[in-house]
Amino acid sequence: MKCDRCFFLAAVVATLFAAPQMAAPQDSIRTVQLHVTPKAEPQPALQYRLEVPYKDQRMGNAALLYNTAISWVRDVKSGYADFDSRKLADWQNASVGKLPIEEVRRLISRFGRAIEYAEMASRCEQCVWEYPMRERGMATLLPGLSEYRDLSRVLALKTRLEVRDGNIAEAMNTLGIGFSIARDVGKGPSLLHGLVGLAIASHMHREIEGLIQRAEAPNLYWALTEMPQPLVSFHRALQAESQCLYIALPELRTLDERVLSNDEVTGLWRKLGAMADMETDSGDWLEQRLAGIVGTSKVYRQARQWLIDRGRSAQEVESLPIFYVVLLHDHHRYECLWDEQLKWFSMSYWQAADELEDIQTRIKEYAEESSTGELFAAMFPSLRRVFFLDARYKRDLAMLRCVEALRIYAAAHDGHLPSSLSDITEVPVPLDPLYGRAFFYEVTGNQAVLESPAPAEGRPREGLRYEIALR
Amino acid sequence: MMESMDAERLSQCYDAYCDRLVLYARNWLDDDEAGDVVQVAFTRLMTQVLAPRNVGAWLFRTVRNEAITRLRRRARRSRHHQRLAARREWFESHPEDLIDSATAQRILAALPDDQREVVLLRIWGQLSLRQIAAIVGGSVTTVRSRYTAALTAIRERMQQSCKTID
Amino acid sequence: MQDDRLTPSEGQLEAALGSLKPTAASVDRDALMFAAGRASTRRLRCLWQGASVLLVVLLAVSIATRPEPVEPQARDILVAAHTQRSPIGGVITRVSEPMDETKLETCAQYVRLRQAVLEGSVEALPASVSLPSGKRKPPLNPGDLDDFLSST
Repeated sequence: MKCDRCFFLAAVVATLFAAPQMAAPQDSIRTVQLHVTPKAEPQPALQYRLEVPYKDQRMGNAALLYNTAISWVRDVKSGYADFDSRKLADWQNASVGKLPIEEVRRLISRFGRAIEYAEMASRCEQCVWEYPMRERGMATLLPGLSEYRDLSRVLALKTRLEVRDGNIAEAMNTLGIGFSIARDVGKGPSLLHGLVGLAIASHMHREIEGLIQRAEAPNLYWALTEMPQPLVSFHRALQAESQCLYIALPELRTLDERVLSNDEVTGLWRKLGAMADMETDSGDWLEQRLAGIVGTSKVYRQARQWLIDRGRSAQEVESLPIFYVVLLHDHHRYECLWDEQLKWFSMSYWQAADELEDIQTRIKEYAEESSTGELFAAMFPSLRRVFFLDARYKRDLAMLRCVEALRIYAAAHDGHLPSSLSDITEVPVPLDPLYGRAFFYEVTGNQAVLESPAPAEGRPREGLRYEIALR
Repeated sequence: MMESMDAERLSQCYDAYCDRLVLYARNWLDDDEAGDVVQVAFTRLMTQVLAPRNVGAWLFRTVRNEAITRLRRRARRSRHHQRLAARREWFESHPEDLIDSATAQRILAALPDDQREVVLLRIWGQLSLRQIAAIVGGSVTTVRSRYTAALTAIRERMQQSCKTID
Repeated sequence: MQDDRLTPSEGQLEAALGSLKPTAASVDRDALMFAAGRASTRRLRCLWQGASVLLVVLLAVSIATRPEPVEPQARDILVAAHTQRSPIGGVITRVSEPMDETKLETCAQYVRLRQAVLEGSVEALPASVSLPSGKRKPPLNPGDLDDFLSST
């Protein structure tokens, strides 16, 4: 009887462990099969790099060369009738065996000049974009972002063909150009720049998945580890975006100093609605919002009380224009909610995710409670999503480093995989930045699964699973 | 919307939570006392002017506070683990169970107190990690760490349990 | 339960454990309902008593500390440019002041684009993020430059 129970338990446990592999449908977690060989660290350790070393850099501002590269990209796109960004994306997502190789080579050759200028830019010591964000805020034009996306796809395909042809050194060089573009585009002043930078870096990561499967490929643990951390920083872009409202509406900076009339506040709200891309098609959209703001309305009473709580007398507050009082309160809440979000960006994702979710809820409440607060609320980007995308990129990088750490271990242990990640002592094994703990790891013989599922706020395909087989 | 508590609602809460609350209270007390503190919690619920927004979380928190108060009052912490071992079954046993109930009880009893508490609140209390953090104190992150550590320990012990049974 | 931060195997283990049903409690249901009902009755009595005491106290305080009458202050009155009125009698004026429409539209474009990229991906970037007005001239080719120089 005990034996039967034991077998039953064993079957249950085995099913529980096997279930993730059996149950994952193709449209859920992104699953990549990696067939890799054991490979020790290179000697010297930084023999291979994904960033141009100091000794090979050149003087100058990369932004100028990037602008020229993008001009060449535009020329290709407009000059060839058969160019299709969608086809480029399809090729990028296809396996190398399914690519029309010669057609891809021809496409890559058309971008030769663009790649040449991008390579020169990647070697520059600095990249200063000089966008007039402080003067024009969100009205700053953002030329070229889609061209950077397309260029990075071309570089990804170029890397893939180089790996296929066994030109590892060339492939490393092309990857380096791609990562430099990611880093430098990410230095742009807006969140969009950062997001495009992350996307470019992700394109390069996927090509590394292919490169490390070549038997002759070096171990890239230290090349990946040595890259700038973070490669793309949202620190400045977040601050810039939080200030964009004040560039367009400078009267908000001096709200406490100068009382605005109801007319002036109405004009300000009208501009805010236009900036926030609210539904402004009906001519009296603003009047409809303002119709409920009167001396007895809840939104006014709350604003009035808030001012009194801050030390103003009831007499003084009641002498102020009603709309001005409401605006003061709306704006204060807007400022607080921005700062609440910004402060958490300094933390690890797994520490901050719940807090950011709470703040999202508070922003929704803010929008629902005040018809004019909604205008401010519409200016918030989904920072939780930005934080997640940033953490997801770091997760992808950490998982690649884990794979390389496994290869190092296998090279030192007769080609065997460790039974747990904590067995690896040759190099530090990174934690999963989405969760603040070790990656899920499970080994069976010479095959292993390394996994990080998407959290609730992500989509299933934003999880990552490597099925690793050692040759 | 906040409502007052009446007999019908109380009866519904009893059906939904009583057994699980007693299981939770067994984290600190023997069976008889566990039943007592659950009764106290329900009685207190009826004295609330307005029903709590989340009755389940409120009940678990009340049970916890009452159980710990009783334990401190009698200063019997040193015999706490003995009591855990000497209790009756925690779970009903059915042939179709995915996990053997006696094994599960033994493994849960062997967990550190703080991990076991989180497991009981999470799985049988069906509370979110945020609600659990509010009840036991500490951050959501800490609660999550305890929970995943507990699940890891449970899984490992189940595997060992399998190997050691002849 | 909705925390999807668990790995798949942890989620399976959680579900398997959750299938175990706690043994029936040793709490006497009838005794519990009786005790709870009695407690509820005591609560209601206390509420009425407490409310009465509170009213008396408030009345005493209000008599002792009657405030000075306050002169009503003039409020801003919005001049009606249209006939639209709010239910309480305030009016809203339609403001016509000059504003840079192009700048505002560019801001709105950025907000839309940013949200589309966040919700989707960089696929949402249009074929070219271009100026809202004006045409870009193609860059000079070496041949164009020769033609230009030789024409002067």
